Amino acid sequence: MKDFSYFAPKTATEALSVLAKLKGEGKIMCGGQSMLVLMKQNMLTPENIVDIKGISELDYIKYSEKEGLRIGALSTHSAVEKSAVVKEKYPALAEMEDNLAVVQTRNWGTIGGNVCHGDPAADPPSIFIVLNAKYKLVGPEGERVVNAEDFYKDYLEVDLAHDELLCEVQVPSLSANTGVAHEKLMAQKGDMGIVGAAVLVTINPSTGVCQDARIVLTNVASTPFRVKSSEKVLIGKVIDEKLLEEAGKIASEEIDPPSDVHGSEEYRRDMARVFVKRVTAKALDRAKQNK
Amino acid sequence: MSSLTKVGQRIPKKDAPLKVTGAAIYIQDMKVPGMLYGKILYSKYAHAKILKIDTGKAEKLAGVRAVLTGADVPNNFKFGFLKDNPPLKTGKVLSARDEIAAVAAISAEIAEEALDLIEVEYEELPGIFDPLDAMKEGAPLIHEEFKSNVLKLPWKLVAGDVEEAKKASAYIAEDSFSTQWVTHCCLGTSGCIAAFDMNNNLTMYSNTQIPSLAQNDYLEALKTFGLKNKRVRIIQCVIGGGFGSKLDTYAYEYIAILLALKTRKPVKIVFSREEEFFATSPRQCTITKISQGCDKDGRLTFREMEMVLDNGAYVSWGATTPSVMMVPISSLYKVQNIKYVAKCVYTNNTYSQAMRGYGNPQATFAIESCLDQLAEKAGIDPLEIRRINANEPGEITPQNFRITSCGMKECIDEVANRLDWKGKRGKHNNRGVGMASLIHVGGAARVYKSDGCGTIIKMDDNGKVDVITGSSEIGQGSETIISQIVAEVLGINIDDINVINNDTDVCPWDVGAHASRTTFVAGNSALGAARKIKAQILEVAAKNLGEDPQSLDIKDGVVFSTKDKEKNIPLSKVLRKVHYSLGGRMLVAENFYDPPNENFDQNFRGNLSVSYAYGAHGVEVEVDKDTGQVKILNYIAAHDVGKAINPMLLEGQIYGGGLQGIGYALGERMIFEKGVLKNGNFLDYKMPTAKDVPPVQAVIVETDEQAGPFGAKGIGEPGLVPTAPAIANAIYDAVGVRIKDLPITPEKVLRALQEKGKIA
Repeated sequence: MKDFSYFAPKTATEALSVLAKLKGEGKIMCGGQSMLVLMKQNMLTPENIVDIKGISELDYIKYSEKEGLRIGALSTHSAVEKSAVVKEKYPALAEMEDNLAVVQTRNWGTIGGNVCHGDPAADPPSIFIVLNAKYKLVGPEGERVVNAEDFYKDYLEVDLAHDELLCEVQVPSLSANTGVAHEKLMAQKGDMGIVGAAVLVTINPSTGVCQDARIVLTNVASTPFRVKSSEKVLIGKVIDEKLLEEAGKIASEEIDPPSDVHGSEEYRRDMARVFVKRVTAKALDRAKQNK
Repeated sequence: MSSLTKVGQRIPKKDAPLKVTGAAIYIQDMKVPGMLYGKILYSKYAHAKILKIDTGKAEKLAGVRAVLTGADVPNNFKFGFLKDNPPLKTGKVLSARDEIAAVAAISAEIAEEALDLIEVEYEELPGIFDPLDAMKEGAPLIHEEFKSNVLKLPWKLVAGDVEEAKKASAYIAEDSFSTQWVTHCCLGTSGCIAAFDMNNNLTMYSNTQIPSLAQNDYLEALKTFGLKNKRVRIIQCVIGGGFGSKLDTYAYEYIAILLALKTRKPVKIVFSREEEFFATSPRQCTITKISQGCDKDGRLTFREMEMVLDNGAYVSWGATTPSVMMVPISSLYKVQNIKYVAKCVYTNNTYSQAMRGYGNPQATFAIESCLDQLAEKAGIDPLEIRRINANEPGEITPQNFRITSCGMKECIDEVANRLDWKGKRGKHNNRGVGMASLIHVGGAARVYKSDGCGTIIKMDDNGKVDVITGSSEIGQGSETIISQIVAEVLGINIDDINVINNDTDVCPWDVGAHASRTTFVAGNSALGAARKIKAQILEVAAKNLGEDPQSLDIKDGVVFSTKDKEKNIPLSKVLRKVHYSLGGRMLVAENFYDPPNENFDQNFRGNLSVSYAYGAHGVEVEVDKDTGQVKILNYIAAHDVGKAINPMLLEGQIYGGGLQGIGYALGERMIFEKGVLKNGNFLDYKMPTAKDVPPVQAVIVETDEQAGPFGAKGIGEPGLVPTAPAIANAIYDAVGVRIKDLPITPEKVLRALQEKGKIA
């Protein structure tokens, strides 16, 4: 690992001024669970590390019916996993965390760090996108809010300027008759999914017609991949086995997955089909129960 | 035997508190005054000419004390089983892990930086990465001087008449199987510190599992370097896992020695995790053709196997694994007609080495998968064919193994009962059961001229005991087992025993922690030493008590008369009386135990082990037909261990072996592309973690081996021997596809299911 200068601001304001002074030469660290691995392999060699783990004002999880869920960037994965309100209102989010890496990583790694890393294999971005979450960013010019979906630009590239800080993940309240699920194909429990899927389904309780569907796949493209054409197949219809199969098939054709030591392109396409089908079915089931 | 108080108890490992609190001193923690840090530059290519090495810039870097290349290795020194491996390469590199240059510097960071400054010019050569290609006529030679890529190691075993037996067989099954490279994944990476004194005697701080043999290797190296008649002392730090990886000496150790010689300072080389993946030697990958037959009643008639092993670019002890593969090939189940030929072939891949099981898992995968195929052809339940052919006490096998204790049938039955074999088999509902058995050496293995281990016991004035043993503690628990055996004999507490096992200047000779031999050999050695010192104690106590030594015994640190319990004297008092009297003496005993086993003769016959370990594993799986994923629902591992000296540690060996075997079966593999490792890290190399552990039941079958210490046999390796075929057989029972190429990844299962669907 190459040497670097280390900054440890205690407030968001202080962090922003440090970042401004470093003029693009500062790299934010917030837990470092993914970043340190890259640094050890010299794939990432920052001159300056701005470690924001000490900014306690950003460590919170809040919920209100009106505002929905507010997760401070510094919340650890463990905090999200164990949060009573997350378990009650967004159980799929807590389930996702249970399968995220190992307990040591979850105890130290943060939601802010994870969503800003921009790894297309990461789980939290996929579930935030299906939940229609927004990220609150602050910079020298003040605040801006972006859709989680629009945040991801390319492999390890996100819409965050060098002098900006992601402060909060904002998840809207879920409407009734909505179900959310997340699953991934793991070689070891807790590892990066060979393919993963997050799905949200809302149905009309009296007709059973699907009113909304959001499907995001992980590790099949350079960013979390929303399969809108699969969603379209489902919306406005009563979802049945045939539609699920069709949605899966469309997804498998639309993606451009990598081929690597964990799975060939062909296998990933096939698994995208299986997981779109499976996870959508699970979300649908939950939607039917969430009256 | 029922009166045992220490042997047979579930006693936690003595070194457990050290390890769980982080107080254990591993090679990683060791520092010696004045120590320098060594780093190694490896090849960029798997096969290339080295045109030029420029070390000028590296030498000028502040803090660098020495830079070495192949030109600095004296007298063309080479190491390894066939002495074909120079510690630093000149002229040509033959594999991507080839060592090109090395640096010693005042810090690891500076040494690392210096490596970047070494400029090497290569001319890349086409490589051979498939042993079958390497065997083709006209294939380029990896080592030109040997005239062939096939190693001149004559692995051939013939017993009976296979051709005749084929004619007489009612059913024959034949197929091909292959296995992959896997690595040991020791949590403690390899490393050493080489230090010379003023007279050029060498001290190696090391995590070797073969101190006495390594000592020999280093002495030979020193001799070649021009340092004759020197002493080598090996001090072992706490060892963070061996599994066979530390059963040989490696280039990095000779490089540390050369750097220490050049700088006149101690030099430490410790592998990073990445180096541990690519620069240590994995389990051999194999390509196997097998054919087995049986008569109309299911009795095995013959077994014929042909094997090609990818040796990689250099030869280590790993090239001798066919000798251990012969154990199951000749002697797993009763089968009289055997033919086995194995070829080890040079390629430009990484070279392989010993790993837990030493070839047995590869051979057993083919034998036990094929046995299920044969059972199907013969229309016999796989459980029944195993019961019909199971080994029994008193048998003499085609390799002249004399089977003493043998609990194979009990193990098979335990597995069948606990798995509900009859209830669960043949349902074809995506769930299935499978089993496989094992034989392994269980009473040492005479690989070298001596298979012995020495023990010295000395007692102090307070009744405390030092047991100085040749055996190595590599995490398997030998320290605790030896303490239990000695404590049992001497009637004292485990905590009164201090085991010294890490310094060749102090400890007697031992062949090493291999072949599942430590409990058996070091245990017998310690048992003999304890009995000798007990005789001395009773003799002097008898004088004090005015009793006959035969009527005395020791319990809870007190010597007492078995006739009159009132007549007793504390052990410590006896010892002091002996010591502090005119013409006093100290109580010390030594014992060397070399088991009465035999080296193979030139036809590979001989009773390799004093006794043989048996076992059977059974597994219930569920296959996800959409993803190809295999889930283990239940795992039964029954082992004939002779006697469990410590059931807790023994179960640990079974769980650990089983899980390593599950990794081997279902996911672990080193993926090489043109000789370069593509997944040399724990993110991409899928070793099962604590979260992946399925329900495992360890079943201990005791058969009281007469030659073993308190009846015990070895259990170090057996736990992973039958795992892969048991799982492969269960998958076949569940969904009707047989995977013959390890590991059984979901993708392979899914493809096989799709193929089957096309045919159906």
